[in-house]
Amino acid sequence: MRRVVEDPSDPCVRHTEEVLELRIVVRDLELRSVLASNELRELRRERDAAQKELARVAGDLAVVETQHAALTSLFVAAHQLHGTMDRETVLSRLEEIIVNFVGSEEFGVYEHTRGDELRRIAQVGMRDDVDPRLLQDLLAGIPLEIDEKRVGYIAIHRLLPHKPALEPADLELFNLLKTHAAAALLASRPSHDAQ
Amino acid sequence: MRTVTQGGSPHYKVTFVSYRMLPPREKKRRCFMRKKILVVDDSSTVTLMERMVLSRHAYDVVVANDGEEAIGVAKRELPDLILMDVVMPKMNGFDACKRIRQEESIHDVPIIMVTTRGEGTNVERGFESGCNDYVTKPINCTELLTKIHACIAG
Repeated sequence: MRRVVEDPSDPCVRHTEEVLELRIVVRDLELRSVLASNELRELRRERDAAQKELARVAGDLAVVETQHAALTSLFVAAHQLHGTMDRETVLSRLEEIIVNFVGSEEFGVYEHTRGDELRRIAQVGMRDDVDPRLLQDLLAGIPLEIDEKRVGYIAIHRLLPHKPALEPADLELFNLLKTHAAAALLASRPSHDAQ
Repeated sequence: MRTVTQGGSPHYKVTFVSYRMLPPREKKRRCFMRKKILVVDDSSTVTLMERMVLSRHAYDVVVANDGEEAIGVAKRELPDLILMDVVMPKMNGFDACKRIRQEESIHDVPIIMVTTRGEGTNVERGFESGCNDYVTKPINCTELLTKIHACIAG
């Protein structure tokens, strides 16, 4: 067998060695590139999953915020109605609740007198000559009852222009007003009658 | 710059510096401080509601019941933002807004009008009087908080 002795000073041999080394480097870089691509794909997948989770949590938070706002308005309504025994204050707070929480610009509050006559005790945006027994264009009627006794009712005729319709939160508020407004009106009646 | 003298001596020098004139580092520091909001409304029902909503989101709340009182409270408390009703006794929200824009110490406090009057003419009048944003009642809490955050951060 013939033995070939390579001369290291030969430029051809040197270049061949360099090419071989570069090929190894290139292969290594290719491998790293594949690994980096895989890692990038994995990170993108994790980012997408995190974004989806974030969107879900944001949605849940919005629902909780809405529920909290509804509960807050219910609490404030009850707090305001029962925070006074003065008839005028009860009525003005009832008006504030209906204007600011329901968003009505035309409504009346009616009460059964001791002689079972129905009379209007508060109103916003209504004509003075409307007969309570002949109410027309009623959007919502909320009976005010306590212990199954009818105290009066709230008649809502029109909402503010920027509020298109009643919402579920309004119905919850109506349920609260049904008993709490009735109780507040009854509680303030003796001082009013005394006056 | 204003100089206040108490009984001849000592002297207290109080300087009002507009938030916009502050260096960026100071602005950043103040961003992490608890913000103070002045709620102006003649309805105790609305002020209670807004107080409860804002307190839950780490805002300090001060209240005024009409436009005239609002100017005094704003000058004293130097709030970071004002929520202003429109229809109020003594001075309405539009006039109060104009007056606040003329006061040196509070002229750049953001003002959000909060009102039942959401008609275009009213909104236009609100912006003419110098308000930064407009929210209609019944209040949508998410909308209100978003606008407050945008006004304070901006």
